[in-house]
Amino acid sequence: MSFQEVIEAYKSHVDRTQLIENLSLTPQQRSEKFWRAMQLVYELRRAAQVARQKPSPPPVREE
Amino acid sequence: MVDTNFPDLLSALGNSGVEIILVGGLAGMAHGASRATVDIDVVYRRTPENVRRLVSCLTPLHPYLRGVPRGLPFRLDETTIDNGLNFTLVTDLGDLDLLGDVPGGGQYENLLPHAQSLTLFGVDILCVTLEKLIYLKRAAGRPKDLEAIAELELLLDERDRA
Repeated sequence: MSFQEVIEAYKSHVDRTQLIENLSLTPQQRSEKFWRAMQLVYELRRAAQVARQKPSPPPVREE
Repeated sequence: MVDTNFPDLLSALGNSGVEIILVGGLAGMAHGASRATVDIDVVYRRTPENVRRLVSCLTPLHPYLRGVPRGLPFRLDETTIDNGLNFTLVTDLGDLDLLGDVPGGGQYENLLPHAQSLTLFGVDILCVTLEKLIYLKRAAGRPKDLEAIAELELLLDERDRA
């Protein structure tokens, strides 16, 4: 598969409605939206790290 | 691993008078792309004065080479920048790629006609145009960029329809 064929295949998976919504925003608004999303990503990452450090609870036996 | 503080890092660069042009994923975001990015990529002007400003801006952020073990002697100063070109760094405020030259775009002066001023995180900054960003990503020819190129080309298409 050529690069262009791969690119065209990826295009079918892109959410155009999201792009249209982003285009209605100013660059400043886009940056604020992006930063809110990244802070959530960072928080989830930290939570995952904490969860990995906790010992797993014992399995629940069904009576 | 330091989470990149995009507002503070971009502010530090933008408010220091350093001549830079934003490229990469954050430039895509500035134009409306939805893909996440974890670092800031900038093309910097390689004049002695601008390199001095760059060093002055970044030194308080303790820049270090990304992905190398700590303890390797590295100092981001004017000599280091003069003797190098592109630097992938980690700073106190996160990951920063300093690019002296980019495939398909050349150096700062070559890219300047293809840059526009945008306000991001409250900072006025030069950002490569969407058309040029697509061109740069295609010129880089990296498989990992193909998905980004797809989104950027659709973004351009939607923008031009409006």
